[in-house]
Amino acid sequence: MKRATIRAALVLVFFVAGCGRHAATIDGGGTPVQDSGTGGFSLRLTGVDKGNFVSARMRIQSLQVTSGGTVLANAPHTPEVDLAEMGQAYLLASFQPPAGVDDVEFAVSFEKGMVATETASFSVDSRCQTLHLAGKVSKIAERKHAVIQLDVARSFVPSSAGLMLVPHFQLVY
Amino acid sequence: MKKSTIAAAAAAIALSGAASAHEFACEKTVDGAVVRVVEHYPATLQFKVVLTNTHPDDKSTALAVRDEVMTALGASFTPVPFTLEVGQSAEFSASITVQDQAGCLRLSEAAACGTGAAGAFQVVFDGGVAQCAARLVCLRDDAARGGGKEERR
Repeated sequence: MKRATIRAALVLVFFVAGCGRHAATIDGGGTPVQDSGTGGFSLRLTGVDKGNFVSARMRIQSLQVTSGGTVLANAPHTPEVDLAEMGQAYLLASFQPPAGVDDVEFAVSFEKGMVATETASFSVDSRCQTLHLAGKVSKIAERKHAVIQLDVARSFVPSSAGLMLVPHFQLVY
Repeated sequence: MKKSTIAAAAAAIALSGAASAHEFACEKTVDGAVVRVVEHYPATLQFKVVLTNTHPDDKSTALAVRDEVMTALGASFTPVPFTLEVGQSAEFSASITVQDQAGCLRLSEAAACGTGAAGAFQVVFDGGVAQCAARLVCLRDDAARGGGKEERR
């Protein structure tokens, strides 16, 4: 009995610790990289701190993963995300960096979006708000993924025409 | 009792594994606002970034910082790498006076549509990247004077 309890605890540790700082549900219709058999990495997008928003649906216009000018992924795996769904980490891309490279560059742009609170909904002006960032391959390799954590409450800012996307995020490994 | 002890230990291990050695948060503003609507020209715009070490009990080291707009405006960033103690913040600032909507738009274009993380401030550290941003809305000169239909970009 005691052995079973310890085993259960270790299993719990394995699953929770394995998720690191971003314990999120794998979603987006794609196969998680660790199960893909390609040995590749994944880039995911999740919302954190949704504030008063009950939904934050954004369409992904484009996605590109590059390394030293080589394109590793060139289309979003998940075309639409709801960033107010806390704990959902949407798969944006699977990729395999070439041997010997230190960094990969990510570019994610949004087409349009609609966000809602309990009482109102707003269109989102996301023009030109491309997320450009770079990730360390050695760090991504630790868990086979990089996760963009978009701060929902801070990133949708009121303007006269609705809400503006002003991206505040963290990239974690 | 033993079961709860094991569970607590499991949780502790999980949380310790989740901790990151370096954590940052930042806030970027133009004249104190995340979205700055420029209605009158000339306008002097004050860009400001506050970078804070948010790790609960350890210093955090910034390996690189990027802000193309503020760099172009002559902002002086502390030579990297640099380290902030627990709760410590660093401030960076730059200002520019735009004479008309065209000047504002040039800045706004650079901020919103340029290549790279143009409108944003990014700090790169061992545990990842943190970004904060601000946006400009440049009203037409005649709209700003009340002489025409307002148009926002």
